[in-house]
Amino acid sequence: MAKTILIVDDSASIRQVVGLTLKGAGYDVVDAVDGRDALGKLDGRKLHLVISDVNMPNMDGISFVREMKVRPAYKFTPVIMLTTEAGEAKKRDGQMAGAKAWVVKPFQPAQMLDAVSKLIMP
Amino acid sequence: MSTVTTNDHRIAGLAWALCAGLGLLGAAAAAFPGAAASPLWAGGVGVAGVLAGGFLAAMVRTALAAARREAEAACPPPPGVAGLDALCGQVLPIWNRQIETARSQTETSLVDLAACFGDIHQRLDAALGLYRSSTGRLSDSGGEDDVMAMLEQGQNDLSAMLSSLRAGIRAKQAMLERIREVAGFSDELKAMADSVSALANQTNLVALNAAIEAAWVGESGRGFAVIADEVRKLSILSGDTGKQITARVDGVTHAIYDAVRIAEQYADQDARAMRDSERLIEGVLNVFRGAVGHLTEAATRFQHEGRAVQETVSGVIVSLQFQDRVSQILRQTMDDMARLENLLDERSEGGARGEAAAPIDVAAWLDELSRTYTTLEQLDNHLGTQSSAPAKATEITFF
Repeated sequence: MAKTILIVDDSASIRQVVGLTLKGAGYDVVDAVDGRDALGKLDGRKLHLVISDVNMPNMDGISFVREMKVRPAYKFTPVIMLTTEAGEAKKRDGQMAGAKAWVVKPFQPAQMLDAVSKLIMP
Repeated sequence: MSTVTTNDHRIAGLAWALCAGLGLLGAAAAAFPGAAASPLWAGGVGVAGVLAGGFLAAMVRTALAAARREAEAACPPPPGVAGLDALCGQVLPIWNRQIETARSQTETSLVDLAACFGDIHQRLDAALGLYRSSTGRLSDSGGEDDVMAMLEQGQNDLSAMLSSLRAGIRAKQAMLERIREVAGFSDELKAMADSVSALANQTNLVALNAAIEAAWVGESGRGFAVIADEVRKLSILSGDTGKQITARVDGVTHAIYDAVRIAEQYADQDARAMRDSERLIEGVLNVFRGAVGHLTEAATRFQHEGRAVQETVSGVIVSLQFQDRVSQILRQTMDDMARLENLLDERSEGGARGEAAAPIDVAAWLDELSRTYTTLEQLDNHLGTQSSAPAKATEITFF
């Protein structure tokens, strides 16, 4: 059974290319347009990994990850932050929130898939 | 900057009008009936008034310009262009909408483009998968080996079949040898039959002599003559039988030699057929090997091209992500334009209420602006340094 990955990004083109990359590797994909929308997708479904942008309207990615991590069902779901932000302060914020990796856009599909395979839940 | 303004001209015009009016008033008074002055005097007063007015106006303009230059030197006017606030208030929302339209249209187009490339990627994957399965897994290094093994198996099967045929031919040849041996026996049989005929002739001759000797003996030899006659009859029968055996043996011998000749003809045909079959099978296998070689080469080329297209599509996927960076830069610029628009609105409303507008803190504005950047390019643009190219390789940090 294919593993499911939640993509959170306000950019439709990014959601599209990330989804394309993951689906091509055999993963199932669920997407959300911002942190608030993503919280609505945490409805008990099994998520093996989350890939989230940082700067988004309504709720940013760091806040979303903090909210997600307090929910028992998703406490151990690994998170990859995918963002244009390359500053160390932001990275620390992401790490403190519970992210496992920080990927700066643009990403190479092969390297993204490599990171996903390293972190995704069995 | 011009040193003589419109207001200067107005003031100078008023001075000129005042002097000219006084001159004309003086002229009117001089020309009034009953006045002591003559009309010529009155006209002179008027002209003098106008000229004095013109001179005074020129003096006033010069003095005002000089005073303005001094004032400007002592206290420079605040920077700005009259009407700029109003212009910004009108034009900034327009610029904002134009940028948003361009940004959203680009975003929409890129989403469509990404969908198209996604479709190409998936179709290519499907085509390559189908090709792999339909060509017996020719795609990978072991594919050609699989087909060559299949060919070798076919060749081995055909060789086994040829071996069976050769064994059959050898069995026929063995049988032919046995038939030749049988033909050799028939010669011996013929010689034996000849011997029987010769013995019969000799027996007949002995019986004849016995009959002659019996006739010489007379009546007492009559019985012996009968025996001799019977022996002679038996010898004649034996001779006839020997001749019949010889004839039969000749017939059988001819039949055997005919059979050997025919069998030898068939053996030659079999040998030729075997050689032809071997050549034909080898030719077919060579054609098949060539076809497999071409097929394998085509499969390898197809795989290579397919992988190249997939890599190109991956490159496109990377390039498409720049829309997100562009979008963020445009959004941040739009936000700052909106911030400026709000500030101008507030100052305009304050001005309408008669409130004095505080000077804009440009440094604070720029500092706040710089805190909203998310990409290195934005910071470079802010500082006016050479713009950093976004990294081509993925920058990943694992925590």
